[in-house]
Amino acid sequence: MKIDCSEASTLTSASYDRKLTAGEIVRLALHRLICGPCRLYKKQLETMRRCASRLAGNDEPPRETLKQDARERIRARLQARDKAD
Amino acid sequence: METAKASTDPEQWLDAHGDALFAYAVMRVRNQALAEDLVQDTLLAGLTGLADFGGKSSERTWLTGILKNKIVDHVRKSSREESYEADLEDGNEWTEKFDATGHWVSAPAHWGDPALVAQNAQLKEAMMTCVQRLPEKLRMAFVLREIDGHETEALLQILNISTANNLWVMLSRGRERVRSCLDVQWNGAT
Repeated sequence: MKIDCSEASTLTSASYDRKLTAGEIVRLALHRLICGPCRLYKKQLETMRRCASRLAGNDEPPRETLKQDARERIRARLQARDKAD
Repeated sequence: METAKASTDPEQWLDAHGDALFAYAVMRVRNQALAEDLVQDTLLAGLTGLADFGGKSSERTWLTGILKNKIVDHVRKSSREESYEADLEDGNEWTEKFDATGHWVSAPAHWGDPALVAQNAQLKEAMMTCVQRLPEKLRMAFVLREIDGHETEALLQILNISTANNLWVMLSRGRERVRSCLDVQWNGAT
């Protein structure tokens, strides 16, 4: 029931999207015991998951901004909506 | 109850939050005109739903939440025209990562403690770059799953993907592309 790095990395990624079966968990753990690169792979994916959630926010200065014409168009549309009330 | 309403001024929304909402949208939909429309729709929806703004979250957070839903609605609609299911037969990128014995051709780099490294500013920048280099269908799946945290069951519907297995494969390919991109773009926290 040994798995190789290709299967181990597939399972590692899958563990972020679904529950692994008991058998998969055991095979993955046994593989990582003897495989340094796959232990690093797991750490990298965990780092990425944590870092990705930092990209979700909207608090920092925006890297792309509204063009002036778009801004004016939206402003006019909002004002039209106000008057319609 | 009146105080919550008084704490927000819709006339200031565009100036105070327009750019941030636009940046949020364009990072996800990669289309300037569409992102502008989404910002407009969001502000209009905010006006209509003003009574729902309880002042519990900040204005920015509240409007961003509306925009997040607008983006999902847009993706759901567009996936009905053309599914976001990636062609998984396309290329052998996964098998090229491993040699004939199933071992890594190029072993993953040592990045350090995930909890610390994830706070690294350069990593965040590099990750943004690497995500935007993904092929569009993998990119959208990655963004909605990893960045916005949508559940896989919901994503099957939103992206119009036929089987859960195909979505898992797409996500693992997306992660692997971003990971190997980061191994090149970003050489660790030191």
